[in-house]
Amino acid sequence: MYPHERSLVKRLADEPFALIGVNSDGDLGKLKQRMTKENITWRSFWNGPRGTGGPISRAWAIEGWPTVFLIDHAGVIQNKWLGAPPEKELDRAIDALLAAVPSR
Amino acid sequence: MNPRSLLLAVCLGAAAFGPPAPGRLAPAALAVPDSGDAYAELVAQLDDAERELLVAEKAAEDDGERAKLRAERRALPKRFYARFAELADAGEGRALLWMASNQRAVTEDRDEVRAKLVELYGRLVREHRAQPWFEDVLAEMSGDAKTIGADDLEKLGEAALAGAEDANVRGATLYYVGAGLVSIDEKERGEAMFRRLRAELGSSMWAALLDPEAYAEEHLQIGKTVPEIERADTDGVAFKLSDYRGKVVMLDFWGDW
Repeated sequence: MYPHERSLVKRLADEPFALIGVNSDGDLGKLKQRMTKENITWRSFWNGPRGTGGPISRAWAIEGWPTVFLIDHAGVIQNKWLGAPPEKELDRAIDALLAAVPSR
Repeated sequence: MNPRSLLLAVCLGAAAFGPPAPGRLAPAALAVPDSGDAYAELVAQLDDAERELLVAEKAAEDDGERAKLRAERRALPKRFYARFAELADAGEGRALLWMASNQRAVTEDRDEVRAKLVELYGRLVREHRAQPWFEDVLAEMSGDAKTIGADDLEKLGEAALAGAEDANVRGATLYYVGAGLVSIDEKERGEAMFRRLRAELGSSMWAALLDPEAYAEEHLQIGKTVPEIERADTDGVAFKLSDYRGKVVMLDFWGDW
């Protein structure tokens, strides 16, 4: 999923779009090496040292990784995928929400 | 292998509500390398010493030699303790947390361990609750509920709450102290903490932990306004999901495994 995420971030760099992660790796040192290696430039909340047992994913009752929420400009949840979303479906959903952002 | 493949199995145990896992994890603060920092240097020295002894232990020729090296390795926290204490007295809170995590390897007597833990956590909750790693303190403290005892755990919780305005500090304290109390069968007192959490911060992540399924049903369905997340990023800098209002946000729960 990284390559598609990287291309999304690049393609939508000038659009009102943000990719935000909630990372569930327990080992922050290892994770940072991987983020450098995979060129993961987007910002992530850290779920804490307990990894997938950390408070954000537990509070949100996350049932598998990845889980993706798509949120519109007003903060309303518009799509939700358990497992990696199909790329075209994700692109279409993002573009539709971008088209609905006012004063562009 | 696709590192992002769906891992349903991973979270089977993760979603259930309960006190922090009993397995003692090194506080996250200990895992963050930060060059030019006396505390990180000391942790690195300790790690090196431990690794060295482990290698020697594996290479040892006979059982006697092996046992000697193992004893030496187990005595490492004792050998390093005074140096962590020195850093702690110089104001380094992470050193206090290290001391609390390693107290049992340093002091044998149960009452002494108890008294020392109450003292160390007391300093942490009074002097370091504004630190980004304070949540680790609460998680450790909650895991030590049995040793600390309900009365002192409650007092430590109240000390952390006294004058604290930060919603994350308040939420995390009420949650972890409540969970610690429940874990040692002090249900009533734990529930009292949870009631305060619901009354004070009902829509927060910390209250959500009390009943994640109900929270997801109420706040995380399509068409609902996404709840706030306010927490440190992977560089330890706090930010809010609501900082991105006005933008389309793809929120990805991910892990690299």
